[in-house]
Amino acid sequence: MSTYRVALIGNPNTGKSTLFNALTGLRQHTGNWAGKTVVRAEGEYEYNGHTYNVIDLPGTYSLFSNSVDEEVARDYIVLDRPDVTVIVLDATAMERNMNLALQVLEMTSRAVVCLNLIDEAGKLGIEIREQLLAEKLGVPVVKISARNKQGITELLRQIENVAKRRIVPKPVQVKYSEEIERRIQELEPEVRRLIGDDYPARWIALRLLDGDDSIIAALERRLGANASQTKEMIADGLSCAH
Amino acid sequence: MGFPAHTDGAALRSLMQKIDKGEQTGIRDQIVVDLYRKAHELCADTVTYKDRKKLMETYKLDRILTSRVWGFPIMLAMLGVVFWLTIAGANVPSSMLAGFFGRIEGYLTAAFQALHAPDWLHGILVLGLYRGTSWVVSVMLPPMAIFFPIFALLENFGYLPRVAFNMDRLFKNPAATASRH
Repeated sequence: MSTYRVALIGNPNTGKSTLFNALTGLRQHTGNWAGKTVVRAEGEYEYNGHTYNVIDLPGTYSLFSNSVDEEVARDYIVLDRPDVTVIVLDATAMERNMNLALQVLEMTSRAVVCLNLIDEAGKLGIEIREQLLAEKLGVPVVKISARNKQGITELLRQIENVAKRRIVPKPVQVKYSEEIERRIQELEPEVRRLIGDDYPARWIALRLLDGDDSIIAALERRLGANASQTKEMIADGLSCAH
Repeated sequence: MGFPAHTDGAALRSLMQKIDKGEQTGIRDQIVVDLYRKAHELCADTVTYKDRKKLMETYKLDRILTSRVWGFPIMLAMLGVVFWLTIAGANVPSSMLAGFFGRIEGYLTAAFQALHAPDWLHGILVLGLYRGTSWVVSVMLPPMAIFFPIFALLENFGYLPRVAFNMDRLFKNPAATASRH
């Protein structure tokens, strides 16, 4: 039995919290993100004998670190690297929501896209071909209605598939203009050399081009902490060996 | 973990500083344009709208409530009604509560006199503490009991997000956002 970490991300008002409640029931607690006035909701559920720790990230329209909410969500996905990121989209406003999904898929490959409010979409005459969308996005796509607890089992199954690496998604990457792509090609190997394969090099290269200071600062803090942690672990290992 | 041992964020920072700042202008806009183009492409292939008219109908109310012309008058009218209901509606229960507390005060005073309590004790406890508290309760409780439920209704109907949207236009001018609470 193992524990997996699952993050929920989505635009505000997509029923993300309804899904969170449906998944975790009463097994949840809320607090704040360390040093930030942003609510942090955590809960857990069990499925097939494994524990899944669910974290409800703040609702955001983008991940360009325009606000504290966006930074919190971005840092969690990039630096804390949950086992599965569930991208919750409002099926009645696909185009507006898709933009966030594409941004998340640049940051992590271990994702499941979840089309919520599918019953509402049906009432409005919106039809979504989820198989085709899954092919195009390169990640599993599940239709659900969190309010009616519809499609939850399928979602749990797909989360398990990605968590256990039965499915290794290959998410679509947005192709930028030639100029930007050329410069990403230049930067990416350099970034990869500096930070290794654990972090999304292409995405960080893009942020560097964008002049985004905050992600560099966050990485500095995290890499610093990790580096000293590694040192400690090595020291511990040595003292145990003696 | 899998990163090279010599890694420090400073190297990343110096890498960023090497990037020509002149080329950076407008890159965010280009990124966003490309993201939206891709999102549009994906949706065009996978999402079909059987009935666009029906879809637009759900936005009809939105367009009125958030229109440049009607947005603010409707908001002011709504808030006007809410405040009028609160103030006018609170009068009756307020005076009932005040009357009720007043009767009790009468009994309390009678009790103090029957016990031959000194005037200063009666002054502190009944005329000061009791009367002060009961006034605050009878003045404050009814408006709160009316205002908050109505406001909660407006919020749950989804009207308050529309108000925030309207206000956003105002707040955009000094480059603030109305979404922070």
